[in-house]
Amino acid sequence: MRRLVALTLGLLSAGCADLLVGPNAATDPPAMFEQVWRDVDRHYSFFQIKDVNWDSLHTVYGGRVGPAASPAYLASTLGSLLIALKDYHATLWTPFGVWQYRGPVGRTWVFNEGVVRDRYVTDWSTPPYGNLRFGHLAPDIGYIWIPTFDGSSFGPDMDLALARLSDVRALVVDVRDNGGGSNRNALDVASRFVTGEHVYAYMRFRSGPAHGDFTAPHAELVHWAGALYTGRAIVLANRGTYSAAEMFVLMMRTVPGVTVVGDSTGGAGGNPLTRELPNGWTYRFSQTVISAPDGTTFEGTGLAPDLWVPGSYAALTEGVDLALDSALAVARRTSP
Amino acid sequence: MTLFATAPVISHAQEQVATRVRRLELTGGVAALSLRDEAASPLRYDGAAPLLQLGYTLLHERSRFSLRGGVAYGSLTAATSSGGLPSEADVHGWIEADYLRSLGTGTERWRWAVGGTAAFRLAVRNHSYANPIGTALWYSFASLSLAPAVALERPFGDRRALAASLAIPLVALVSRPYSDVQVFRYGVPVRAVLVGRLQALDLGVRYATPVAPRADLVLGYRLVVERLRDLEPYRWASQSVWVAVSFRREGARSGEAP
Repeated sequence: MRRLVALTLGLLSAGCADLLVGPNAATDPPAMFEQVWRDVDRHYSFFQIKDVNWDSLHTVYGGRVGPAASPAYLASTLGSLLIALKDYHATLWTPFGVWQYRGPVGRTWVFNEGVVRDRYVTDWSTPPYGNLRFGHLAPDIGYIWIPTFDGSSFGPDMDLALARLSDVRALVVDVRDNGGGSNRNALDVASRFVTGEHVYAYMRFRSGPAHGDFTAPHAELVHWAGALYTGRAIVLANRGTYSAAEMFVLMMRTVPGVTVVGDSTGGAGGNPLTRELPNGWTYRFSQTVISAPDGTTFEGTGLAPDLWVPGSYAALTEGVDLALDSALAVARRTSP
Repeated sequence: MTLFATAPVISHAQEQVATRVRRLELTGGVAALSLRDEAASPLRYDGAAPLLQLGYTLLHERSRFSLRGGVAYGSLTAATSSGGLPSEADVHGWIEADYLRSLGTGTERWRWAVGGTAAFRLAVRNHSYANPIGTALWYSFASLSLAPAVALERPFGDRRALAASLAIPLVALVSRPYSDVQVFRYGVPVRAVLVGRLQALDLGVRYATPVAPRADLVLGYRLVVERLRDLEPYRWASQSVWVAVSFRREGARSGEAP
C-alpha cells in the first residue's frame, strides 16, 4: 500500500510539477550572473551609503561571462562582483572556493588566544556548551573570551562563568576576532550586564526594488536576563570583530561605565540575506542598515573604541597583548 | 482558496429528501508538494507532506455550508540537494468555509451546485541552504481569498456518490515578506490582489460510500495551485490523495419535530 501511494504521488508530481510551478531556473553562466546581479540589486542595503554604481559593475563583470564560461571562471567573476561591494557579509560559496571581502588592503589586527591563555589567565576554563572561555586575570579581575556568536546555549554558559567569577570586581569581555553569528546569542551574553531595557541600535530592512526602499527604523532592545553582573566591565574589540559581535559592542555600550578597549571593529553593519543559484552555489549580502542609537552607521568604518590600543605583532611575539594590558590597567583603576 | 478540502459538493440524495444533516469529517492523506518561491530560491522544491483535516458540514435540502481546518507538514528538496541540503521544511495550515446551493430539482442523475468559498491559508517555511555556515532563513506566504465555486455530483443511491468541485479565487488579500520573514518585525504588509495577479485553482474529486449506518468512507484527490505574479514570483502546487471518515447525524427538517 505504501509503495502504491508513493508511486501514485511520484507520478502525479513528476507529471505535473513542471506544468504547475515551472521548471528550475536556467543554469547557463549568463543567466546565473543575471540572477546574482538582480538579487543584489533588489535587496542589498548599502548602495547609497557606499555610493556603489551597481549598473556600472554589471557592465564591467557581466560582459566577461559568456555562455561558454567555465564554472571556475563564473565563480571567480561572481566572487569579484560581490567583493566589489566591499562588504564583509557579501560572500560566495562554490566548489572552487569562497569569495569574501576582508577589509581594505593593509588593515590588520593582532590577537592570539594562546598568549592570553598561557600568559594572562590563571584558570582557563570552558563551560559545558563550549561557547566561551573564562578565568582570572588577577584574583579580582575576571576574563571571558567569546570567539564566535555562532551556536546556542550562550545564556547557560554565561551564567556558569559568572558564578565561577563571582569573586571579581572587574571583568574583561573579549570579542576580538569574533566574526559574528547570531544576534540572539549576543543578546544572551549582553543581557547579563544590563539593568532595565535599552535601545542599542536601529535597524532598517530593504523593503522594495528601489535602492532607497527601506522599512522605518526599528529600535533594537537589550534587557536583563539570567545572572546579573554588576561590577565594572571592559570590552575588548579589534578589526576582526564583525557583525553580531559588533552588535554586542553596541549592546554593551548601553551599560553604564563600560569601557571599550582595542581597535575599531570590522564595520559590518548589515544583516545578511542568503540566496542560492540553480547549480547549488550559495551567496549572501547585507539586506539591512544598522545604526548606533545616535543614528550613525558603521558599515565599512567600524565602531571606534573608547581607548585605542591596536596592539602589535612584535609585542605579541614576545607574549605581550598590549590591548589586554590596557584593559587590565582600566580594570585596576576600578574602585573596589 | 480551498486547500485539501474534502468538501462534499451537494447533499446526498437521501439526505436531501427529508432531513437536515450534520456531518463531522476527519481526513488524513498525503500531498505531493511543488514549490518555487523565488524570494527564497530559483530552484523548484518537491516533496511529500502528510495532512490532517477536520471538517464540519451542515446540509439542508438545497444548500450546504461547510467549515474545514487542517494542517500539513513536509520536507521538500531540490534537484541539487545532496545530503538533505538545500531543503525546505514546509508547514501550512488552512481554514475554509464554503456555501453551495443546488441547481435543478434535486432528482437529476447529475446534480449541479454553485456557491462560493472563503479560505485563509498560512504557509511557513524554513529554508536550509547548502553553504558551509548552515544558513537557514524563514519565509512565509499567507492568503485570504474569495472564490466562486461550482460542484457536480452523481449519486448512486444508498449514500454512495461521486462528486467533483472547482473553485477559482477572484480576489485575495496576500501577505508575503519582501525577502525573509525578519522584515515582519517592522509590520506585516497585506495587499489585495485580483485574479490576474493571483492565478489559482482548487479542483477536487471524491467518492463516498457508506460503511456504517452513520458513517461514510470518502476517498478523494485534490489539486490546488497558487501562482502569484510578483517581483519574485511565487508558485505552489499540491496534489493530494486522502481518505476520510464522515460521521453523519440527521436532524429534523425545519418546522418539524426532531
